[in-house]
Amino acid sequence: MGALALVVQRIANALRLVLRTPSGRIGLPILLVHFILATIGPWLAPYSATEFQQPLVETQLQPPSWEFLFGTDQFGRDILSRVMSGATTLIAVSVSGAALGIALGAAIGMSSGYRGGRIDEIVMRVMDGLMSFPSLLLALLVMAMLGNRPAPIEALQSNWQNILIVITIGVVTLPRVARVIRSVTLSLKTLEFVQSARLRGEGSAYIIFREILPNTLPVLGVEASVRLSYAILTISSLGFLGLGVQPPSPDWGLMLAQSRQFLGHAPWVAMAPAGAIASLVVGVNLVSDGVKQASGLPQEATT
Amino acid sequence: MLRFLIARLSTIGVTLLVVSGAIFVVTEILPGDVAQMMLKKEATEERLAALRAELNLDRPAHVRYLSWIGGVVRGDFGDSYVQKRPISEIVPRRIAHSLVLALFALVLGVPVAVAAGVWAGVRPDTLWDRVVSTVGLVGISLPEFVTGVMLMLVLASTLHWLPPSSHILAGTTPWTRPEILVMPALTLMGVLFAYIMRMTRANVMEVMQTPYVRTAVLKGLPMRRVILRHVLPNAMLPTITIIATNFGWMLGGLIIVENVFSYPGLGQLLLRSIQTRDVPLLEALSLLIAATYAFSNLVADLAYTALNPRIRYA
Amino acid sequence: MRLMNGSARLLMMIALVAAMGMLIAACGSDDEASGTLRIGMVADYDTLDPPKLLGLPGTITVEATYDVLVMRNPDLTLQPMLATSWEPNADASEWTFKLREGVKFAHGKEFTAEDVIFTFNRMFEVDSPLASVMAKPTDIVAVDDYTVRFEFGTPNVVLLDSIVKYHAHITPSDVDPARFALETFGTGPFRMTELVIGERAVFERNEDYWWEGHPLVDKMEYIFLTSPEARAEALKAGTIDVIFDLDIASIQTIEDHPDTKVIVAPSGSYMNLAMDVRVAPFDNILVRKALQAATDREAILQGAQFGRGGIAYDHPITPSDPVFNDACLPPDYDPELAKRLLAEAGYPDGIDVTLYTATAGAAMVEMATVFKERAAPAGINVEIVVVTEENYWADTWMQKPFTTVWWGGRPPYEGISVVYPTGAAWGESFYSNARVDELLDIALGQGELADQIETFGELQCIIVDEVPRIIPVFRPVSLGMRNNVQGMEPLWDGTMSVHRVYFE
Repeated sequence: MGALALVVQRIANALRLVLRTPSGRIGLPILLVHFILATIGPWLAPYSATEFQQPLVETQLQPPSWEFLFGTDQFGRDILSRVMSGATTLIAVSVSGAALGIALGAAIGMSSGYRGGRIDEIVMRVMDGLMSFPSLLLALLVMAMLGNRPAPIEALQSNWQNILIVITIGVVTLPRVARVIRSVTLSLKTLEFVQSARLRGEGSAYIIFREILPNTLPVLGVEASVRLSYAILTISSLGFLGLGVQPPSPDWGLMLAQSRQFLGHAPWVAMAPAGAIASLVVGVNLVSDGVKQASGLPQEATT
Repeated sequence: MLRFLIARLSTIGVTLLVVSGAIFVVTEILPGDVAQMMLKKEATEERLAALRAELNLDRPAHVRYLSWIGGVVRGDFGDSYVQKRPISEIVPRRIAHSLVLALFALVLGVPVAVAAGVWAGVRPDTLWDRVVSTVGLVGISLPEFVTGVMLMLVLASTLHWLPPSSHILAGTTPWTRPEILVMPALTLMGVLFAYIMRMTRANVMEVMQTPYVRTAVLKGLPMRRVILRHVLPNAMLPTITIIATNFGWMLGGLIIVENVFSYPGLGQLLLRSIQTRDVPLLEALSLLIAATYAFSNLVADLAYTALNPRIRYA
Repeated sequence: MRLMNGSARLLMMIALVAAMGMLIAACGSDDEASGTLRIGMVADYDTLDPPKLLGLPGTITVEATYDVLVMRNPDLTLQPMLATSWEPNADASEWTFKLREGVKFAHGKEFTAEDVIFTFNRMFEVDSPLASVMAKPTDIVAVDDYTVRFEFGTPNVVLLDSIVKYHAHITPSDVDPARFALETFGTGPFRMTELVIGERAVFERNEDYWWEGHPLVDKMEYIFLTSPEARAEALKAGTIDVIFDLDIASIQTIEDHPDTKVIVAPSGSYMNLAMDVRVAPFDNILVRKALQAATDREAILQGAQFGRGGIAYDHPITPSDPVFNDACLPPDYDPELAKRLLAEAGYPDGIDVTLYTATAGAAMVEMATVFKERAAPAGINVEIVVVTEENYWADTWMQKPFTTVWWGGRPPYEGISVVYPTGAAWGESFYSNARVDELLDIALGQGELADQIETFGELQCIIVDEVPRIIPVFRPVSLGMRNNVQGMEPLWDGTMSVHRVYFE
């Protein structure tokens, strides 16, 4: 419990620091808008995301107007409403995917780095192996491997596709986080307070969670923000390639993919989803910049 | 140096072995019976058995893995299930196409990115710097498919300057119609451009604060000379690393870009091999990409060490 | 000040790069009228073996490289091809074809009666989709090298409908049939010189073609482009000359462009939902009837086809056909009726179904989207799964219980006999009804319209009532082409002839 409270307090402090940086000042509000939309967007939206506005003859592919602010698509669906509803799944899935990857990656990185030796060697080779694939390719491979399979439990069936994406993002995120956290752990391991804890006879679990984890938090914060933006990019790319969610879900990547055939005479169909993806990732990246500045870590571009 | 090289190469070897094993396991788990999929409705029991024997699917997995690896070492990747041709015939042309595209993107983008980064880094917090930083941020944030679709909308659909589709006509190479490369290259370059620029800017800012640059400026050396002689070489270092380490990442970008623009390169082939469950092709391409990634990282490190003395010299 | 100098240089550099880009762009704008016809189409590749043809690229490839005995022109007249004349006996139980002399296959073999016999026998051996349409001859006899006789024992008035089909392209008898899948050997107007699956096929004019002066273009390229907008934009930009066939969503933009035109073919082509009647829940006729009542045909026509084409009534016969029966029509869109039917079928709380679809020609994904939305009020929850367009016909269609399909237009007898008889190769619903089989046998011998109206009328009533398939709309078959392309005509069955194409 104590550790959890500490973590929460750290995060609150970090957010305050981030808000003081110029990037954070712009980025956090953008993110906030997106998160608000993700939670209450579907209720705020003027129309349903999937319902056709009848009669189709009159509502099909209408340019932006007061009635339909961003225009309508081929099925007379209000694009604004679709974009507003699309945030929910995307953000939920990318946050959970990134969180899964970060949690597992941090756990593996810390224990592997702390234990050292042969196991560490093997674990790191596996991580290297996973990292020799561009993340999109790795995601495609994992999706292809897991896709087309029914859910193991009936109760998961309705959300199975989303769970698959969360797992995929987790797998893609894991090795990169593990690597970074391992190197931090390696340097922390030699420090006095860890050594003394060990001399006190504390167990490895205690040392890892009480001594090492709190000190990796700044790095973990930076990693979290960077990984989140990659998760969003990867998920919307999967949607665009048609390997993510299925129509008629208001997924931004999928919407953009389907809008391409109307580029010539109805470009507004592409505009809103493109803008939505761009602003979300810009927001995350600005916050990520802010986190880096606030944490005082070197501002390297990480990939 | 030699010891370093040997150590690195053996690490790469181990990693690739792990990767090849992983790829093999993954393709084993892929849903669907390969023989069934190839024969479709003509799948009678005898034909299935015959095809399984022909593809060695009746042998245990580790035997197949060893024979596959053996083939790979000899340069024989087997036949594509879908195209029914040797993979070694299909892939080289695709590699060439993707390489041309990637190089075109680098040639187009790197000088501009470095120049913009230097310019912004020399005079931080000016209007120009803000513009550059913003462009960089947006560049990093825009997924390739957004950039690609937007470019298509503006440059092809509206202005009609460039062809919207980058398919390659029979008997020609990408160079016959280099204009087909422009939009894919611009899209591919978007994110990398932003990285290089941001890195260069950060490094230039750092180098500008070092004593020897300050001394040089105070000595009254012309600013241009200071930048060209002292700042640029040092600032270039991380750029080279970034280009090399991101080469593998660029391959990921190719998957999207080539599919947006119908460009017949490695990325398109890869996506198709996943979609059509063309297992041998998928195995070959994955291994190829992992190897490229590993070696480009090695090159990055070598370049870094090779250029390092110049820092001290400067 | 010196820095300014540097920045000026940098500006120059940027300007130079930009200028280079523009220059490159300006160079490649016109490459027209080269005598090479470039046709863009979907990238769905399967086989080139004539009796097994499945997807569009394979079919069009065979049409360019092989010949049929008789071709049906776009105006429905019959054109002698490898057969110069044909004649049935008095009760149409025997048909005699005179063959063209001096015709050579691509590998040099002379075309004779044995090739015709080989082709049609093999069609039945490999269980070609056409084998379920064409009555099986009791014997095919070579009267001499250039005369061949089909013997049926019973009357067959619709033989020519089968002879003109693309599955009946004549293959040489001296080649290992395994090679037909990837190579072409026909007597046709073009020779295939290159095939890169998923990318392109290249053809050269057959200089020895028996049809004097044809074909009219020197070279032809099929370019496989996976997305509709890539095809449309490539046509507008002039990097391809023809799109076959044109995606409905692209018709508007091709019509609007000054350099391109759209030709809409008269066609009985349609889109449908196929249900495997052996598999639950589709084995329950009440469920099928519920899905039928929950189909909003008007919304599908507008939403998926922008109002182009026409409403269909769950069977393949067009309302303009004389044998169309307006006494047996499916119910209008009625979610309440669908709900009641579902409850009766044992699904009072609604039903979940998974519908497989792909962008493999026609507006199938769009049809699925509309179907899902409009069926929802009836308590039918449709989960759409979009699979890749390559291999859709081979790997998904007739493999999954509920799929979207599109079909080329066919005359009434063929349209029904290709899908509905027991055990049909393309019987996508795995439907079986003894009365349907019987009626089709009867139709085979009926030459009078009054008899046909009666037989086909009953067939339509059975099919509409038992709903093995839902056919909501007829689709327009259209070609997009550059203004200078002439003589390119879509055939009635949804394919096309390249014999008479030329550049203006």
